[in-house]
Amino acid sequence: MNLLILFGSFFKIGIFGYGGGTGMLPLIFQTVRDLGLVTEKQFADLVAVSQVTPGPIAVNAATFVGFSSQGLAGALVATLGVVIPSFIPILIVMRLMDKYRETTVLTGIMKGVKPATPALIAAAVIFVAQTCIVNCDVFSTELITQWRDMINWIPLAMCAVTVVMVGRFKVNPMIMYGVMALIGAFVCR
Amino acid sequence: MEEKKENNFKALVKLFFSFFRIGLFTIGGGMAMLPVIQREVVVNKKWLDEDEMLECIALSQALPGVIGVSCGTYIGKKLYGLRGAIFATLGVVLPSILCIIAVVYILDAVEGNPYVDGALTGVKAAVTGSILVTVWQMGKKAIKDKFGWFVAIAAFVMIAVFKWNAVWAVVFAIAAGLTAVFTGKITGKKEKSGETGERGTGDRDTGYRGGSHDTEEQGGDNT
Repeated sequence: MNLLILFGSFFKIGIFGYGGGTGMLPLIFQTVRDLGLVTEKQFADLVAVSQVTPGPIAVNAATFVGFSSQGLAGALVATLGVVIPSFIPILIVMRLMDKYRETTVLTGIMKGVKPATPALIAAAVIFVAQTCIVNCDVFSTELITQWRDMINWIPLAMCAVTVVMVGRFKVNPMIMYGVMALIGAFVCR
Repeated sequence: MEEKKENNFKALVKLFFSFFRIGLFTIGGGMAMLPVIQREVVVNKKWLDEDEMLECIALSQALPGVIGVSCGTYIGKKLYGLRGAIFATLGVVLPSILCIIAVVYILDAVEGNPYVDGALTGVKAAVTGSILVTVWQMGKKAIKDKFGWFVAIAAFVMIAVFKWNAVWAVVFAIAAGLTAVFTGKITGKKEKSGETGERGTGDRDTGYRGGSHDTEEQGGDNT
């Protein structure tokens, strides 16, 4: 596993990454798993930590995977890989836009990407849920046939409470993370 | 350009620290960063006006990559050219790198501690819930017609059910959007920047047909 592969992988994530940090998670998840650099559990832990640490999630993920596998050089290379695809296209488009105000292509991209973004984020939910709430693939028959063993009821309840508190009562998600971390430390160990 | 060079370095450092602050104090990633960037850049510093900021946000979302970085690049470039773009990007990325390196050390140190594992499980469960709420809220705004539902459901099924690489879902969504807009153009329907979501039934049909056509192409690519 050398730095070049690391750079290439995160470059790909940068190029095909849409929908902001959380929207990019499925792509990052799949790539990292295929590379075998960190385990799914480690990565899910990072996703959890990313919610309470600053910065773009994709950059957090790149730094995490790069640093865990190749040290500081790995962190810088992976981060550069994920950043360059956001950096260069926007410079090119800004130059073009001065000439062509009417940008049908961008409109078209937006038209497709906008409704796809919640779908990408929903896919990210599935990936994270598979590391804490269910012990198997969400879309498998196992979940139906052996649901007693496959569902972790306490995290499921925590998730449901969070949905109600954040969605219905507009509680700041950060508060819920803190509360659930405390409860989890004593109940989920 | 040349005569500005002298006082430019100070301005670049200011830009860097503005974005460093944005990177440091926005938690939860790109989308959460947008309102913070807007406040700093439009209200506090008055670097861009509202219209430019809207263009910046639209571009950041229509182009691939990290939203915070795209925004930083746009604003930096607009203000001070390429050097501005580089300084703003460095500013937005650096807090992230530093924090995560610290996190790696901390996670290594507490590895296997049952209390920490339990706490992380709790946070993951809460994150699942709060992202679900995000999906719901964002979906209500972003999915307004049959075309939107079609793209969203197809993208989700590709990744979550069929386990295809997310790249395909993104390529599919872009192809569907482009097809919808271009077929709309040809049939003489004017597409209004695609932002409002207020569209006539005629347009909707065109969009939907365009979309389904693309699925066939996409399926072909993958088999």
